[in-house]
Amino acid sequence: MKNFALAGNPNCGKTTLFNSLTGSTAHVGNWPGVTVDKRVGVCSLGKEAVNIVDLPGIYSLSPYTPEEVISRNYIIDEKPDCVIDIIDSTNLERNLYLTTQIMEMNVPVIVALNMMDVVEKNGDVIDELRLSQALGVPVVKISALKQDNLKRLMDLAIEAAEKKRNGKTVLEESPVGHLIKDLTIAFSSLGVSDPLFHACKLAELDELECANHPQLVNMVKEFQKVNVDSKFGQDYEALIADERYKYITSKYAIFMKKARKDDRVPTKSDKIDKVLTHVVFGIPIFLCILFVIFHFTFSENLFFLGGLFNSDCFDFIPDDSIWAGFKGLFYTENGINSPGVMLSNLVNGFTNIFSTLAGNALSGAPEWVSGLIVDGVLGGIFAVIGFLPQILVLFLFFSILEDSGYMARVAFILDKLFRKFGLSGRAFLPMIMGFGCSVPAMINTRTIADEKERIATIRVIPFFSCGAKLPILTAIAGCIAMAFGFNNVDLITMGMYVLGMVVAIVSVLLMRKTFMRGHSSPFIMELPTYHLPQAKSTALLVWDKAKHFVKKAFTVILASTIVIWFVSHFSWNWTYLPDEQMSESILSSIGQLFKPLFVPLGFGISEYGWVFVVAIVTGLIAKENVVATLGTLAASTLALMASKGIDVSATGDALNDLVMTMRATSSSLNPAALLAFIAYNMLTVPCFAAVATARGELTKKDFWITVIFWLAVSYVVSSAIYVIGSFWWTAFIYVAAIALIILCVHLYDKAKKNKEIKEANA
Amino acid sequence: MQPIEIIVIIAAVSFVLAILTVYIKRRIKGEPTGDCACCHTNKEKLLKKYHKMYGCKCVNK
Repeated sequence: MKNFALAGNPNCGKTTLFNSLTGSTAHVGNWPGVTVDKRVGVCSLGKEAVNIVDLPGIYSLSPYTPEEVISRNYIIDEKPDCVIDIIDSTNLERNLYLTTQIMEMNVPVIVALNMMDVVEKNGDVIDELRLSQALGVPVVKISALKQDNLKRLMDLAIEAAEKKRNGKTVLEESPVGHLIKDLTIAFSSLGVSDPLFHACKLAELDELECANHPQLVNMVKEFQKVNVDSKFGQDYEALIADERYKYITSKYAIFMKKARKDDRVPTKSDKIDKVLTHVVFGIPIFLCILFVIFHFTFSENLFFLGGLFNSDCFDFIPDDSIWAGFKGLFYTENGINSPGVMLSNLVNGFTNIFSTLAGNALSGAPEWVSGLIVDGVLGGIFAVIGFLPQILVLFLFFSILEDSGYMARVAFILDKLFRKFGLSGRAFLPMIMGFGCSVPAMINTRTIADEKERIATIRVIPFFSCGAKLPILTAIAGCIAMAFGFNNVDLITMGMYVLGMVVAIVSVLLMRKTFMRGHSSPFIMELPTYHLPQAKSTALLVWDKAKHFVKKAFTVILASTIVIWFVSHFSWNWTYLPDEQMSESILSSIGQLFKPLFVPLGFGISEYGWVFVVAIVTGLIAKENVVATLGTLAASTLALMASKGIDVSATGDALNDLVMTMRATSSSLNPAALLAFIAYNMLTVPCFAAVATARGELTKKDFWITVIFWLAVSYVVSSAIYVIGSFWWTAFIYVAAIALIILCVHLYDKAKKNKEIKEANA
Repeated sequence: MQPIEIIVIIAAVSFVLAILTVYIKRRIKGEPTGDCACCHTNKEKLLKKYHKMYGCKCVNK
């Protein structure tokens, strides 16, 4: 099978084209640097099926960043049968800079003019035929998003792959043309393939070329001595870049006729940016947008209208009916439900029916069988599945923000703030991905050039709450609302998201000002133009999220609920224990063993606090397991409490009942303890998959420091939440301690800076 | 022991063992085990389908 490589500038639509050609659902982001490693798929659109390799976006074939090295090495070493060079047609000149470098290789090339729909909408025209003649390679107009002309692109690429092509350079007539000719001959005599490409790169004194061919470096140095350019001196890298652009402007860019003559007139995107990226209002606007999203996803009091309706529209359903789960679907006496809550209630209504039917069907079965299936497996799985609609609604909003181009602006807004803390806005992009899943986010940190900055970013990525942690936030926030009458679930969830971000920023500040000092690399990013979110890409993202979530629920989480139920109903001598004797179980004894560790966090004080402790441990497998474990154990723990004569709540939701009953038996289980539980789960060691990724991205030493860092940060922050929340006056002690730490860090930083200046002067 | 008890025990144990086996197998082979595992499986399926259609056994040239 032939191998075709997709190459192009960042954010020119390579991954969109890759998805369209291969039917994949790889993550597409409207910001540069989403793809950091090559990805392979099969395309059957053309005359024959071919392997398509999606390469990271690059501006040149010089090895400035790891992505550029990946793309360059793939094209040189793997020798694809054809390189499909994707060009963002709205920015033809800058994109052709890479094309001129790819064309220097002895590889068939086809140029795909992407985003032609936008070009045509702007009234601009590109003469593809004349551009093709000038470049000497086929040129095809396409729209990867709308899937226009993709078959023609593949047919032409297959045709091009069957012909041999020799490299061609635009630098022949430049002041270094003679040097390049000589170097090409020298490389050819050495038997190096792609001699022209290597010659052009060595003329730039490219680091990799100099290291690989030191014997030829002198040729360039000698040439430099006698050929000093009037403008660039001996800086041949700048000279060659200038020559390339001059050639592109005079020979290629002339084939694009722009409708808008004056580039100084602000576009619609410029006008929107004046408001959204405002130096003062930028961050408050971002926080407001975030609040609106959380309000529409989690609020049970939409628009703060309160209880407009006295009676439920489902009041006619008797309380003992299997349909009773649908009561309060649209509104309650507290207010109107947000779309996220409505959908969640709908799913919970159906899962209640299913649980009731399963319970009825198993009424004649032995007690343990019905306990395992109804309370254990279904209780655990449905506790997690119930939050799927809210997760999807939240991701739909995030996907809209991302696809519209706003998220890239947030990185730009935060760059100024981050820079003060020793990070660049570049580090924010992997952090945004962390809201979805920590695994790709950690991999995406490869775009950060400074190693210390990269390590610091990997360490704080799990603090950006991923989709798997959302059920914990929502479930426990719901319990706080139910048990303590604080009905703003949206504020709690958003507050926890913001807490994660604040902890991340403070952690980075401490790291970068103390033992991980260094200069953050400059953040230069081309802001994508605003566009309306594409229904297909947002739908794909939501569908992908739902698919992964359901698959995980019915595999890993289902298996976990079975194991949890067994270890919570068997003693160490393998005797079955009914719910009433659960405190003698294997799980209970393990939970009781670790419970004292969590006393400073509040939720470890209560007699039944071990339930929360084991939920934390099972959460290490997958974070959804935290709620699944609580759901699995809730019914059994309530039965255990009832057997001890405790008055058990019966609202119909086992988890809420558990929290309300525990609250009635122990004053330590207050809202602060529950918030500490959420914070601990959010900030502690992430799931196995994320831990394995961190291990892969870090050295052994850095990895273990990172694990200790996660444990320490989560413990300190959660205990502070509990202590301050329970004893308000301790806030003064914490403020004093924080002020002292800030002073120490400031003095340390100042002393280090003075030392660095002295060393530099010396 | 009733038949339903035997069925539930066998089903629960085999399901947990199957999940564990797949996880261990993936770890040994160095394949992704998190969310990315799905994409990996999809790619394998697609290639298998292609090889079946064209009768080619090699992935690369």
